[in-house]
Amino acid sequence: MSYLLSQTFSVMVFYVFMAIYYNRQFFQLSQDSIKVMVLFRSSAIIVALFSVMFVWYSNGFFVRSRTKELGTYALLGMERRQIAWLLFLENMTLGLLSLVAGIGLGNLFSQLCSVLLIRMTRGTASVSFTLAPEAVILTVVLFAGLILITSLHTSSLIYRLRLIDLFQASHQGERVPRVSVVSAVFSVLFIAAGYTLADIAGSGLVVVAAIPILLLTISGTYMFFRSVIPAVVRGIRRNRSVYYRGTRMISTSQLLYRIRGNVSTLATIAVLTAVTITACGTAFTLYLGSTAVASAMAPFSFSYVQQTPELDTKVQQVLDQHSELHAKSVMSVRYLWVNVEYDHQSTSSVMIRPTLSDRVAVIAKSQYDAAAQVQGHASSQSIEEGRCVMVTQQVLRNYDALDIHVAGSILKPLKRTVLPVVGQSQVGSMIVVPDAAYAELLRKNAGKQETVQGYMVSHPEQAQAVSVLLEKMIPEKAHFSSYVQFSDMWFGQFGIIAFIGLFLGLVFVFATGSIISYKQLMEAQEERSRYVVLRDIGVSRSEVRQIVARQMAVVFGLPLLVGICHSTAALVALRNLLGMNILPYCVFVVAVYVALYGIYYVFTVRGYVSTVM
Amino acid sequence: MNVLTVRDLTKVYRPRFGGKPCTALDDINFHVDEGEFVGIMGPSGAGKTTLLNIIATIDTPTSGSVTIGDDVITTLREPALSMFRREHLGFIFQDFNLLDTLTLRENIALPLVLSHVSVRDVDRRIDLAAGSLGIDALLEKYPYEVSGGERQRAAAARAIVGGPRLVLADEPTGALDSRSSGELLERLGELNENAATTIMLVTHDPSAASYCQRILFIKDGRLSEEIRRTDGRRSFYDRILEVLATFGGDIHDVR
Repeated sequence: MSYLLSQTFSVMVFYVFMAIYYNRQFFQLSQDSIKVMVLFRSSAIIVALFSVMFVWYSNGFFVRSRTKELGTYALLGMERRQIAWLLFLENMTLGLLSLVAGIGLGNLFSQLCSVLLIRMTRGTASVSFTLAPEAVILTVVLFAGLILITSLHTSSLIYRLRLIDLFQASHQGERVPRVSVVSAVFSVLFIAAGYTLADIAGSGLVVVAAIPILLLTISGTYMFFRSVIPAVVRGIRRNRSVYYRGTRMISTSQLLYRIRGNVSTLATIAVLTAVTITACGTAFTLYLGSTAVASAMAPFSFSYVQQTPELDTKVQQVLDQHSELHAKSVMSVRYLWVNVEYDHQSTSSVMIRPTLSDRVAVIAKSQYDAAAQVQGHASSQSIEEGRCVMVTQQVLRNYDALDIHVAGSILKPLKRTVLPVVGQSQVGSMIVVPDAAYAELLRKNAGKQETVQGYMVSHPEQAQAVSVLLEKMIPEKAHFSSYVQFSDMWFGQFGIIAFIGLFLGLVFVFATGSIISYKQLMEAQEERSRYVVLRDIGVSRSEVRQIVARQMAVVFGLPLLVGICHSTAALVALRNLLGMNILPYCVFVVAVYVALYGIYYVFTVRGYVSTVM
Repeated sequence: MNVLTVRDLTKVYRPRFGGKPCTALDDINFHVDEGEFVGIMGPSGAGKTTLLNIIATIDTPTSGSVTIGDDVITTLREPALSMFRREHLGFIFQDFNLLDTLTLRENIALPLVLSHVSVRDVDRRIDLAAGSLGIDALLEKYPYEVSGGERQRAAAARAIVGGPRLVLADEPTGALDSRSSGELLERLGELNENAATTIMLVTHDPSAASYCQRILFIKDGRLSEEIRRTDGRRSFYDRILEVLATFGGDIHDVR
């Protein structure tokens, strides 16, 4: 039954993805951006690969659990040909059943997903729920082929195994796994090296560094599971006062064998977990962080560089006409364009992204504060004489070693991060100085003054129509910028990415959880005789549950922990890259992942206990 | 003093969906004193394993009672039952006694560890038990590394390490060759003589039974005969064969 479910699930996942891809509307959406199309295509391939692997894997389990049954048939004298045919038919039937069910359910589900996708991309199109023929054909072709192959493989099993193998429980001539301390040490070193590399690599190097980072981390992970875990377990065994405690002795000794038999699975799952969490974290950060990015690009709901009083009046009129926007406030922000020179004292790298601009806008602190107040990010920190605060989109390090020369005076930047108050299209780099310094610069006639007129409205994201109107009205040189321009663009792009991330993330969680679950439940069958012994010598029911829970906790928890570690390192690198605080998003992703995993854990423990008792 | 008292013990299997009920044990009454080495014999299907299982608290009777020491075990429930089994009984089965993931030492330690005995005491008691079974040299080995006879002796060591009131053995020599069987039974005999360990042995093998001092014969769920050893083992063995021969005039009943 669970076999049927997992098959259906695979089909459904693949179909839903394909259905969305081929849906007329999204086809259009994705065609607009090459990047998105590539992403979608490659994700589709990943989903396909995964489905294939998953079907193959669960098929393997299904077959293995029936070896005794097959053995009985053979023993009773059924011809091998007949058994093979029986298996083939069974497999095909179940497969086709799951195909139909999968597409049917997938159809329902894809409507849900489509709605979600629309929401996420802040699109306005309403999706028509038609059956996409390409999707159906693709799914049928892929899975029918897959089912055929697995059926053939399954039915050939009877020819490949000897009768005695089908009956005898695998006699575990269990040898103590040899522990290599060298390999254990190396594994940790490899992983640490991978982490350090990820941390060092700046934005330009990331792509180049990706390969060695991945290689190091992945091989390190495998070695970790191979040697470190057994080493730790062995360490526990040596320490008698820890080891000889209740059921711990049983669960620990069995752990050694459990891990050893599952090294590649656990390591793979750890890597997959890391990839998933990183990918989902990145996707969500980009998506949910879009608001912050859009705000940084366009702090005012609408803004433009002042040209003539007539323009101002016209703009005001438009906004008055559209009272639904609830225009909250209007202000003029004045600043001074100056030429500057930079001088850095220390030899270590100051910047991550190259080139600070020579032409910056200087703004008085009081002006800055007034604008920040209106935009909702005011702070009360002051700036000392001779110091300044840099407002720039670039990610900087060690910039307190920087000297800024402007009109004969030297300004030293404070180590402080502040948000922009003027649109990106209007001012690239801005420096906030104390009011006195600004007055001084004015007096020296250091540069040209400019004023930006900015409006704040209650719901900037709904202001598309007005934005378009204003854009037509305002001349090019006034550098009109509106929040909604940016937010639409970003959400549109990242919405799809986030959606794919969500989709794949869920698929991966279900797949990895199921794989571990399956494997453990299969092993439970083989463990039954052991637990009979335990029960007979007086281990109580609750103690059996304890033993199982502990072992499962390690089997589920360890790859999860390792995966979270890896993804943390990767996400820290991402944070350095973006220069924004991504912690809450990542914590959320991890929490959801852990919760879903936890559900698998609970069900597996239940299933295991009921099998062995 | 009575270690074990079995009173009016009956076990009837009623199949769930109708069909004939099967009486495995019918009104069994006997008792075992401290320090006795008792054997239960009978053809297969006679009910010996059922009787052992009930005494071992693995199974429950339809009616009647079993008292071990002061506890009427037939009235106990989980988890008290598991506790009782762990603390007052020792088991030796025919197969699958030991956990293959633990060394012999750890296997023997198991009941003590589960009862949260201190580590020092555990080691001391293991050494004692292993010594009396002659396996002290093998303690650090794994079950797959030693012979069948040595494994069973380790199982016996585990059975006695907790100082149980009663040691129950179900065909312990069933899977052993004659030499290992002899060794195991000799050791059990020694335990019984020197340490006054009360042992109850279930077997169909007359030569194994000859190591006991007293044998109860079961046929068709009832106790039919009882004999006690008076002379040497050899003559006891002959008497056992005689009794077995009288079980039905049919050649098929003699094993």
